[in-house]
Amino acid sequence: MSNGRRSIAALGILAGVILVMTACSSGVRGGATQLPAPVPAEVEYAAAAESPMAPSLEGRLVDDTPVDLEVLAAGRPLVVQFMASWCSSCAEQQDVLSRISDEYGDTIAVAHVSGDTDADALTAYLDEHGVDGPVLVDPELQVWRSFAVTEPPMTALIDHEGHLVRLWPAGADEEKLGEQLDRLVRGSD
Amino acid sequence: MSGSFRRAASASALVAAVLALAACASPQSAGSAGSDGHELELVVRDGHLRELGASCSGARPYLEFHAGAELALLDDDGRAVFSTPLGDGEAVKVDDIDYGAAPRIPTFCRFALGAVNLDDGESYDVSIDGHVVAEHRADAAATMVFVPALAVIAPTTEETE
Repeated sequence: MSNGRRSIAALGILAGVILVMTACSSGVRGGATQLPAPVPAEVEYAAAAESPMAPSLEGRLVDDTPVDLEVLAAGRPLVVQFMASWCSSCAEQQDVLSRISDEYGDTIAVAHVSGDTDADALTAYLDEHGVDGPVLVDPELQVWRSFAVTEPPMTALIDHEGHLVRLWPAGADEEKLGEQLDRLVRGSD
Repeated sequence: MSGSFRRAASASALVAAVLALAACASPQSAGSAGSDGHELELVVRDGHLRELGASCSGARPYLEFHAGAELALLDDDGRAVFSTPLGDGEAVKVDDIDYGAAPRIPTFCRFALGAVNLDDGESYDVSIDGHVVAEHRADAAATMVFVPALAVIAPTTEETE
């Protein structure tokens, strides 16, 4: 083999390795790689100490990673969206969650709890709507029941100490969710 | 008439007959019913708190009633005489009580099914994604399929043995 051909072959192998590494590092949408990054150092939080503690939030992500409230929140306020792939209103709510997530960045965490029994339908939904953040699968609706979810969407807000601050049946209003987050993240109240 | 022409004509007639039989055996789908079909609605009596007119699906324990789920009406022999994927439901009133300024009130979730041709007096099983969930008795006045039926068992406070 000539030097030129060897160089081309080496480049091809390198490109393949890079492609594989990129694919692996991006992980499964909704899986463990989507868990929160460390809390930014300069951020302070206010607790909603008058609120009751949130119910148990234990389960597995779409990639079978076991998680609980501590892992999902990682020391910051957590927005939990209860949803299903067949739910039209859930799809409409994704824009609200995306804007909230963009605005507050790593100062908060956003997680989804899916009631889907069809994993393929859930994957298609997550891809279609570009859902970021961890997605807990709850086909038996155990977590849904814990939070008294009867119809998706429903949004729950949990402070950094684990208090259940607010539930929004039919999904959170963006302005009201923002007001609550401002109180928790910036301690303005 | 030549032999080849007769064979072609016979073959065409046979194909037409097969197509006609196939059409008769196929279940109606939404929008395919004739002009004498009745507009039918599915009402999921879940009593869930919603904004009136909001888009809805069945609330727990009726979560299987949602957009994309396949609804079918089955005759005595278990054949589907009508089938359609559900669209979004609409939250409708359950009573005439004045709930004041409450934004969310008790509602049922209603799905439009379109025009359906059913035999008056006949009963049909209602299935959703292959699971029979209710029975519907057809007559000209019956424009709604209710889920669940109002009384599945006799109301009692006694424990089940």
